[in-house]
Amino acid sequence: MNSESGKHRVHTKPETQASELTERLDLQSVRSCYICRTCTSSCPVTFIDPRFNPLAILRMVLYGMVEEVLSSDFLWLCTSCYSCQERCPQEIPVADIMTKLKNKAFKLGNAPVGVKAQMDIIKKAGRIYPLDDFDNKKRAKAGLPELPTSCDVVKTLFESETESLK
Amino acid sequence: MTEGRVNRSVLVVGNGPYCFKVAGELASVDSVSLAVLREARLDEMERKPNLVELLMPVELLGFSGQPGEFRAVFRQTDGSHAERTYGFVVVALESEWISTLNKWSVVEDSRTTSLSKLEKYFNEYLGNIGPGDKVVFISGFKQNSYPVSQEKIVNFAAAVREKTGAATYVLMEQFKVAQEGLERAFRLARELGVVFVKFSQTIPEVRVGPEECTVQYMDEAMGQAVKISPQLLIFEDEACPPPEGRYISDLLGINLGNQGFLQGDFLFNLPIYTNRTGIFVVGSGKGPISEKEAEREAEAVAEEVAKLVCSFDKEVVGPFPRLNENECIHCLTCYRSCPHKAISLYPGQRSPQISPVACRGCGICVESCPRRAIDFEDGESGISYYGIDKEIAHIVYEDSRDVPRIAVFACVNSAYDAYLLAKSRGDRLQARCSVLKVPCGGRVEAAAVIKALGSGIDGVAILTCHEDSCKSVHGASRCRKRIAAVKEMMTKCGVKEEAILFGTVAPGSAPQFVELINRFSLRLQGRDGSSIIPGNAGSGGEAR
Repeated sequence: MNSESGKHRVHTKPETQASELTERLDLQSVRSCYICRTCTSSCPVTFIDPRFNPLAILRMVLYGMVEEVLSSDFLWLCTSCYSCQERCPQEIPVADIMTKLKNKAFKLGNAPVGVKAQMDIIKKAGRIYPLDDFDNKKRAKAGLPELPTSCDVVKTLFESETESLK
Repeated sequence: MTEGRVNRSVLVVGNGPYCFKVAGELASVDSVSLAVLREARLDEMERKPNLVELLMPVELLGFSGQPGEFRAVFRQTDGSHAERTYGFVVVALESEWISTLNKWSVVEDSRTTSLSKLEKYFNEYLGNIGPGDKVVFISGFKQNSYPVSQEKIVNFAAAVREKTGAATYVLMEQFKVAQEGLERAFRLARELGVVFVKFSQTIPEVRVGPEECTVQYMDEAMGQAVKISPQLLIFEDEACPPPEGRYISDLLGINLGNQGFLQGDFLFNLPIYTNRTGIFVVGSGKGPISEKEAEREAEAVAEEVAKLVCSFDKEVVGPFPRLNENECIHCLTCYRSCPHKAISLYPGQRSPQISPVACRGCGICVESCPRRAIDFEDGESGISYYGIDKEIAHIVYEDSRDVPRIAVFACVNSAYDAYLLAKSRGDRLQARCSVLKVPCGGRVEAAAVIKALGSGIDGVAILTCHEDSCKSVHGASRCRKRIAAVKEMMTKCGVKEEAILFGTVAPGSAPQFVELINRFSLRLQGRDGSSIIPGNAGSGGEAR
């Protein structure tokens, strides 16, 4: 996590190895960017937390600073709302790029603890908010049908999906 | 002059290869003399078409006359003077590109160079550059950047990137896209992976040491500092107006712009016209343009000359000033004030002659003549001192106590158009107006304004074009100064100067016209809020 030092550090890394990574992740579409800042001004996260800035991430990718992005914590602030992607006049798939970067970061083991914990919960219970008998009792009172408290299908799906991610 | 045969020969004045091209283009239409102010290279001379008479290197000493009979005096290499007559003049001076390395305090070596050097020795500079290396282009910051040089930078950056695979950065103060194909070039370069960096608050820091050269800057979009150690650093060149430009513009009486480029900054003259009929400016001497554009201008000027030749035979239409020789006292005020240099003095002639071809009917000479020896030929003379009372008679004797009666001098190029538009739209003017069509603000005589005011109306408005877009160069500014002088005189005499309004209107801007008149009307009624009595302020708020 080096986002705090990012402002003062000077980027001097050669572009070449990074460009390999850019190609492998299929991120060349960032080259179309003409810095209109529509993504940043559309982003609801930037509005609240300026540490996350879609344009800055695109620029970092363009400069070949992919590794810095992958090891950052701000990358995980993206909510995947797709506002940036919808509004980009150059049709850069900004949100898709964020997803690609997040997937890569996850593979490198750079995901924040919370994200890993969420994943474990979903894997175990099939939901981010696990259900138990108490919930079903309340549902019955309200006249709602009972829901299963465990979900093995998701677990199976999850395992096959994480398998393909590796 | 009109009765004789028109002299169709053209004088081309130039300082480099481009004027040979222009002369060649014109040679297909007319007989051409090419005056080259500098020694040109021999290979350029060989391209000279046979029909062109070449004077090189030559000094232009004197210039006078009117379209169809311009007289030029030369000093040739052998020191002899020669006088020739030409129908038209084409100025094809070229501007120069100079290196900006010294502005960055950088000494040129194998790692640092200017754009024109790179153009010349492209392959030599790229010899040692390969993938993993870095190349940085810098555009602007220390000088004004032009689309022509930006196009070169973008294309070279793309070529460097494509050929060597080096990381290529272009640091730009401003992106310019106002040229054919430039936006496409930017796009192609971006897609090849050239990184463009825009700056708005900061400028990059360049350090060239014996070991390495570094460029450090703040990427404003990323919010982080970036430091690059390029193997090759290229600086954009600065465009300099042709050194001969100032002398030639003085001699020919054509305008010069702020930065010293020919033609001046007046929009209506674009692309090749000047303030003088029969004198054209083509090529980069009026600001850097692309080669393609310069070529098109060379073709266009041939066509313009042919068109102008035809106009000599036509009858003069529209208002045209005539000089009454018995009244003329040869003070030469008209000669000095004509913005188009349409008035000449000929040896042997008693009084100045007005060229019907060069005259554009602005009427500034009519206004400036202290003897009122010049008058317009047609009905327009109604706006002069003699006819003004007749023109505004219909509002003078009208009994309208509710709204003020205003005489409006409206320039035909802007305010009069605006008035016609306002009328056709049915806009309501809160005044009883007599709108007088004047060919230019510079035509309005101070005496006519005072006479109109003295005939019993409530106010006089003089509405002209904006000063920097006056078709008669200094017509609007002359008018402003004159009206200010009239107001000062009135104040000294104890007359309220509020009854006179000077305003500028954009061509055909009806709302602006209506607003000006209505505000003036409120002012005349003392209801505009600017009244001296505080209690009255705000009572006339409806027009605001």
